[in-house]
Amino acid sequence: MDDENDLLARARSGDTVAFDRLISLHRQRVFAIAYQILRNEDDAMDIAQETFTKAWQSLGKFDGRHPLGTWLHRIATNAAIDVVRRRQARPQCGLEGGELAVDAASRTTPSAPPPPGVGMDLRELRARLDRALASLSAEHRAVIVLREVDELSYEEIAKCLHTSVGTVMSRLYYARRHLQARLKETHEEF
Amino acid sequence: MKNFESQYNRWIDGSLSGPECEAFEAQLGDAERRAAADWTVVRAAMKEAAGEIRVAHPDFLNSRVLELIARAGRAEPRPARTFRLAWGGAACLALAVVLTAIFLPRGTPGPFSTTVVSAWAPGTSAGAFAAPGGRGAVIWIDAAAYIPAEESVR
Repeated sequence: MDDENDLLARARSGDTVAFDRLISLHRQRVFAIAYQILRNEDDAMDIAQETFTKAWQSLGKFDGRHPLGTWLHRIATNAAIDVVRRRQARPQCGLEGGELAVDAASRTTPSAPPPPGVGMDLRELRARLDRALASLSAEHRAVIVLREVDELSYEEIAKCLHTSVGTVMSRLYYARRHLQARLKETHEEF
Repeated sequence: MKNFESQYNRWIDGSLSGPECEAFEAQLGDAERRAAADWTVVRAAMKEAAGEIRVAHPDFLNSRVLELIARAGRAEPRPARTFRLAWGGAACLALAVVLTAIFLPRGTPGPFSTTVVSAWAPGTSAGAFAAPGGRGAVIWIDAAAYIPAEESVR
């Protein structure tokens, strides 16, 4: 198994085989963050492609102070948010009130039937959570995903999204309260 | 309010100290406290859902990225190309300096150089230098309206 640093050094010198290995190591995580923000498989795939293409072009700028995965994460997150912003500026099919519609037929949607062994309560919670996340704006979704799923610090999220820690805190507060409210609403419906 | 948001986030994150936590919780109602307590479950569900996201065609992603890289004519990273261009430029410059040093006459004319033209009118200056061995000469004339036909270069 090649060491990631070795692969990185080889990729920097133009070795596409090494870069191919790096893609394999990080594609899942990059795709997942893009999917969680865009909530559409095809869009997430486009973002993953864009992320790795940009990364290849900018390998010389990667200073290595943070893990490669974090750097790729940042590129993917910004690219996904850019897509949402562009679409919000020019509404088109698939947008509902400025929000991306959830692709119900997606093969990768987290709301797919959970594996055997997952309790009914958790399955219900996952479905409600999925709907609640879909009702957030991309910016709020990005913040809460980066914080709760990827466990980035406030400073890391701010850097990733090119914004201030105060904005991150504010968005996170709103997103958490919004999710809590939506989950409470759906809970009361049952 | 901003302070409340900040404290709320830190409370949910579990990073408030004991006394801070007690003071903050005193501001909340029962429902809010319960919702926050359930957040651990929500967080776990989010992580689990994220962990189940899979690229449908992972190998296609790799091949597509490599195809895009090749198509863009970037078979090597931009920095590597930049370095190569910089080294190429430096090498060309060094070659130019060496060639100049070899072929460009330096300093005053050599011992074999002689003045071959003299002034023939006031205000006119002329000069010329012959290369050593008589292989060639440079002649220049300043401020002359014309050169008399009977004058010859001596």
